[in-house]
Amino acid sequence: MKPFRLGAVLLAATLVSVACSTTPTESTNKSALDQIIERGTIRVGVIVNWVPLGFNDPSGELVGYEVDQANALAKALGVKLEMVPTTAADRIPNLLTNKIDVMIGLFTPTLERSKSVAFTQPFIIDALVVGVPADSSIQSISDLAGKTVAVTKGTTEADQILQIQPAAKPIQFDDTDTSVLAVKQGQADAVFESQLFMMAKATTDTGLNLRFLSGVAFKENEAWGLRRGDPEWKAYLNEFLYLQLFDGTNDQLFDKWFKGKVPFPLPYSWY
Amino acid sequence: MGGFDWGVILDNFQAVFIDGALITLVTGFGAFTLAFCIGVVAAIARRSRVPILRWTATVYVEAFRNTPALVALFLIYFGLAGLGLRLSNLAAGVVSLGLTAGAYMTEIIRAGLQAVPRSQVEAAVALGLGSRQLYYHVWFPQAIRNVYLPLVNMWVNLLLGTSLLSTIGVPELTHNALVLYLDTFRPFEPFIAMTLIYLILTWLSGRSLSVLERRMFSDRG
Repeated sequence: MKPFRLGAVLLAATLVSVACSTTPTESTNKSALDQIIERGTIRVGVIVNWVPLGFNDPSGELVGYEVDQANALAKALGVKLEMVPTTAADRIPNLLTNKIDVMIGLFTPTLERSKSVAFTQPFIIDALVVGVPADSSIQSISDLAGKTVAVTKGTTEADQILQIQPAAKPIQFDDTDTSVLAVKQGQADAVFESQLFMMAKATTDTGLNLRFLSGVAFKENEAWGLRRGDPEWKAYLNEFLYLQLFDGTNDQLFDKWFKGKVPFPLPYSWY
Repeated sequence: MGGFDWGVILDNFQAVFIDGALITLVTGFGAFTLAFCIGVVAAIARRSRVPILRWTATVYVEAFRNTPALVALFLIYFGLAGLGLRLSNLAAGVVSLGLTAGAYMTEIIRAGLQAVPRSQVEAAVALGLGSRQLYYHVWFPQAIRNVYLPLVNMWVNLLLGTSLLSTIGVPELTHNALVLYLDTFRPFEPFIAMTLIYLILTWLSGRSLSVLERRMFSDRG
């Protein structure tokens, strides 16, 4: 074949194979539930570096509360588990671009977020609390006026701390670990973060000595996130979570990783 | 989610993009000035006959050229704070970028100094110029002219490199665009606007710096 023709054929072949290999995003009306079972794998978004939800143990393996939940979900479906590390900021984009089928971990349902993604019913209640160094002079929320407060990008924290103390100065870090590091090293006067996270961090990080301000506890429902427009997948996930709460599995898992009882027990019911 | 919603950009334009661009410029300029000063001093030190000066400058250059800028930033912001030296995030950012860029600046300026012909120095000495006059009127101007383009590249790199400061919460352009995206869940509009502004800043820098070059060096041929 003449060089030009050969080149054109090769180019056409490449384009065709590329077009065939890209996975179509939501081109079918099938529920994610069916797609997952057909595919044989479920892609679960997990937060990493958040002890003890998902973190690397000394041997480098990803373990944690949400990892156990992900394994249980995959087992229930009878498929392979593929965990996709996700940061708080990537949660919604990963769902919308079909990189993950479900986002587990502590995902707070808000009306604003619900315009973009769907949520299951809550399965646990977390509280956002203000942590200060144990020897700090800050005793109450009014003492936070003019003080720097470390919060994490992509969460509800920056807005909420300004709601209760408009004179506070939030600094937004990329992840929860960095926010806690900031207050530990003295770069911020306080940190406004998940109580569960800080409790768990204190068990592994002996240099961390935080006191939590009483009277500040934004209780938040935590649920799993999924794409909108998929009632069957949502119903399946709701049933899964309900059964986890009903037969005590969730309490066991929580005790295993957080070393204690669930702080705000959730009244469960069939949804 | 339908098409683009540019209203999100326009509503927040002043607070997010203008203020962010200002912080970007200020931190970039601060870091560049610091890097330049360090570069001059260290370049001369590296060429010095005094061993301790040479050695110190070499250690500094190797340390900061072989460390990622982000690592240096965290060390200076968090690490030093743990040791008792607490810098604000803006200060830590400027210092860290300045130190990192200073290492590269040292090598650039050193190359520029080395490229000035020996005959120039000899002629100046023959004309009776003292050491300080020699540096100020003969050696340095020619050195800078030699490496003008690399210096301009350094400026552009630093300007764009200020985006690293978003990781420690400095409200520069990248940080602000990121937060706007996270608040509104619209990634395209803030990031397109942010990219355009960076483009404008670097393009304006390039134009004004080449005009400056002609004004500074035209009389030297």
